[in-house]
Amino acid sequence: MNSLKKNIVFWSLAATGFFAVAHNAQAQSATGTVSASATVLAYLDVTKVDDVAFGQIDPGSGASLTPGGAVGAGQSLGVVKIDHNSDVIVSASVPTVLALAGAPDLPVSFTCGYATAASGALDGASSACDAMANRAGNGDGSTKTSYIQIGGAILAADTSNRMPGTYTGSLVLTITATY
Amino acid sequence: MTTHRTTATQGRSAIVVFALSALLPLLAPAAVRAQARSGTVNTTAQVLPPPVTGSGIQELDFGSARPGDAVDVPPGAAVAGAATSSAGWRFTGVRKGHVVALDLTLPPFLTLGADAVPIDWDNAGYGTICVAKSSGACLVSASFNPGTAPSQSVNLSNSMSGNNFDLWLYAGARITVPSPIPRGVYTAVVVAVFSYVS
Repeated sequence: MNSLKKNIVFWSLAATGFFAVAHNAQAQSATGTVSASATVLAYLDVTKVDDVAFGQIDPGSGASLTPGGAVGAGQSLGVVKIDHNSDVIVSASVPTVLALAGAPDLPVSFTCGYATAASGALDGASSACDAMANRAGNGDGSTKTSYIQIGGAILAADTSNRMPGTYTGSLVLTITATY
Repeated sequence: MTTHRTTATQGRSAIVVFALSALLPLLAPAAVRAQARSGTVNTTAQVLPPPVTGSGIQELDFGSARPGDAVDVPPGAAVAGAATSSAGWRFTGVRKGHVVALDLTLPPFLTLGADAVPIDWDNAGYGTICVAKSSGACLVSASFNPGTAPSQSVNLSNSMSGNNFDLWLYAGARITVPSPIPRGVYTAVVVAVFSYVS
């Protein structure tokens, strides 16, 4: 009788084992999860709107352009448009002279100021272009449009006994998003 | 006296003999039945397959991008030092002789708060499957479009050499960062499920 019981038990195990294997092979699964990410940098776009033009200057006369102020005929303030969604730092490489080939350099100075439009009143006081304060963003990630109006001055004393012609120079503004 | 003693001894022996005789008929039939059944038993032992394990081995990383930028991340093993990488998984203990299902759950966006960067999964060949022994060459390989066919099946025939394979799954994608959008780290989760279907 003991032998008979063992045989019955063995058959039961064998059947159970078969189903366990079949179930294991069909239902076995595994799940893997990975992260996806992208680091979105600050939005920054800089566009030159206008060059600085002092216009025509008679010998012995000066010329000046005031950021935020009106300009005369043939003159224009330099304007740079900045679209940014974070604070920006402005640095500038400012020439101290304008040049004409074959002629002595013409001394010049520049001033800059932030504004909310390409013309019209400044949003704060003007300053030397290479000493501008940081421009704050909106603080919520949305894009803000700021303008830098660029003016300058040429002294009357520097235009006397000056070879006529068009004196030129380049003012380079570097805008850096900061966060 | 002696005769009587002898008679008495013979009497006890007779009792014993009768008792054994009475038991034997009961034991013998049972023993005969058990032997008959044991002759029909097949002895089998089936080794269970090792459990399939799987995990992500590399993140889907689009790196850094500015608003308006497009970033293209094709599938494949991450390159050391690279700024981007596709999503990658490795499943081990994969058995031949089965059809394997791979189901990807693909997020439509990377998000940061209420802001989102759409993920473009609809790119031909941006999903790849490789079944191999350890780090050897692919014995079975396939490529697919994750966006249009996120569920894949792979037939691992019995004719494959060896067993207990590794399966590598990679999924790449593209993004174009909207403009404007707040800066920050945008994230999502990508899930791959491995299962035997037959």
